[in-house]
Amino acid sequence: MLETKDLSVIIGGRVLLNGLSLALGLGENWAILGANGTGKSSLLRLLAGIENPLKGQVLADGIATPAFSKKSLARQIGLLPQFEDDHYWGCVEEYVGLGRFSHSSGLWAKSDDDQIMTQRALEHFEIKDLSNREYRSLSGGERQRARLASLMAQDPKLFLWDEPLENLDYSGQMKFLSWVCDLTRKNDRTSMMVIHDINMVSRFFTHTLMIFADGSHLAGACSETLTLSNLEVLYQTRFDQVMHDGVRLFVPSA
Amino acid sequence: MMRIGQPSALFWVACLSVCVAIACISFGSVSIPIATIVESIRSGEGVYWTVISQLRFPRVLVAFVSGALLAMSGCLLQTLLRNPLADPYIFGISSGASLGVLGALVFAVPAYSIPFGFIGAGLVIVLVALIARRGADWNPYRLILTGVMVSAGLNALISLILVLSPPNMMKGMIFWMMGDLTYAQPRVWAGALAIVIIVFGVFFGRALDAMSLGSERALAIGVSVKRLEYVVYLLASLAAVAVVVEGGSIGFVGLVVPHMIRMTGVWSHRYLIPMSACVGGAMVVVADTLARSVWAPVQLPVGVMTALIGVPILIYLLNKRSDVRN
Repeated sequence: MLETKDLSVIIGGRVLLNGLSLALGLGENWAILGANGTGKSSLLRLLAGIENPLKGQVLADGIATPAFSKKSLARQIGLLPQFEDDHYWGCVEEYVGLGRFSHSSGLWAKSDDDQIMTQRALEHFEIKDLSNREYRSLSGGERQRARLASLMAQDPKLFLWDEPLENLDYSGQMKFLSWVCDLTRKNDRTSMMVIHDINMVSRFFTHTLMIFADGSHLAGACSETLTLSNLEVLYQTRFDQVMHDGVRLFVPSA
Repeated sequence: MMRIGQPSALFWVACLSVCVAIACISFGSVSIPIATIVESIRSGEGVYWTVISQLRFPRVLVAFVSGALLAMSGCLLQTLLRNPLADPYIFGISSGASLGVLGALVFAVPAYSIPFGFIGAGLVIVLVALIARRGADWNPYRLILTGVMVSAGLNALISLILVLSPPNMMKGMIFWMMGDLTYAQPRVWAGALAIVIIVFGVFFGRALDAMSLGSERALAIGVSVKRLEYVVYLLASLAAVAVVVEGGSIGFVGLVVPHMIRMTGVWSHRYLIPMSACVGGAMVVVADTLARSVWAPVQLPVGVMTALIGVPILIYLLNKRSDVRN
């Protein structure tokens, strides 16, 4: 699906991540772990084709991402960035419907597909009764659900999320993560998520990409990468490991 | 507050603004009853026909087109910069045009004031884009600061021209700079530009809606942000220039009209832009009618009137709005 070849994340001349060669397969659910400021969000921008790599390549179905038009790329790869500008004045339904931008061929009309996908996303994230509310008037958690719903409506092959659990309560987090889990497994989609909750990763994810402060990385199945020693190096923090329901959980210790 | 759909809101506002514009033909230093207007249009002769066809109608037309261009320009720039304080003059375009026009007057070639204005504004458009755009993307923050700096520099030069110019010319210059449609002529290119922007707004409305979320989010949704930003910058700038070279810097319309419309619940650029054109047009027509009739036969600068009308309306809407919220 998506492949990187010798990709580097470089910001202002500083190399944050070096020589990443990775292949994301269909049905895989990836977590990106790393300390603050290690270039996780910048990596997502490169993967989504929002920025072009200075060194290395990102290939979608074997073709370098700069060769795609923005619209056709957005049908393949969808990114929900962590931040956005606060200048949107429309209602929630229209906000979620913006996710369908890359699918609408006509300049004016919304297709039946667009309507169905938008309604489904509103229902799934339990914000259908907020449809006509102004997006600006929502609470932080409600906004976040509308944001997640807009990427669901966009329905790309590869979902990229930048800290999507922000502002969600526990029920929201659990529902969202199990939906992503189902989505990738059953519908042959791929997901990659920047996330800081390692216990959620241990429970729901199939693969992990760890980005270390020195620019090196470690990628692989969770069973191999998510170990006490790796996490301690990654976060410079000591952890205790607990088994619960057959899942490894990690508790930070003093 | 009763909410009506955006399409019907656009329809009613368009009808209303045309009615307002027609009504304003009858007002002036001599008021002409509507019945007489209809009668003289039918006959096509007489004193009233001359007044209407030679004076009133061109004046109303140029006022309407100017207002429409300013309001749409402000609307586009507020979205491009994601800044509610953006207005058509934020990049110093009006200062560039003013410098050109005043330069033409000072060097005693008033016939060339419009081309001079275009050259001045054109240089500013290119200069701001070059400085702000260095390599990477359009950073709204850098764009605003560049524009404010360029316009501050140009305003200093304008002050210099004003101070050094002969006293008998100074009053006319200051009058013109406040926005004055007394000598303005309706131009085909200004009307054509207004239509181009309306069509652009209707067809690229959804992309502009996505732009409100910032360039990163818009790109991820699939908008070709770079191309869109160039077009928006160019159209908004040209609209401002087209107004300034004819009527000076008519203030306030471009800043206030988009907010007034958003506060009534219309926000999608497909409707916001055509509606800005209607409301902006009607506002300047009314302001200009007041400017030429309240103190008749003395004519006041229309720019003063737009502010006097716009300020109370916006304050009223702001208060009403907060009631709805709570």
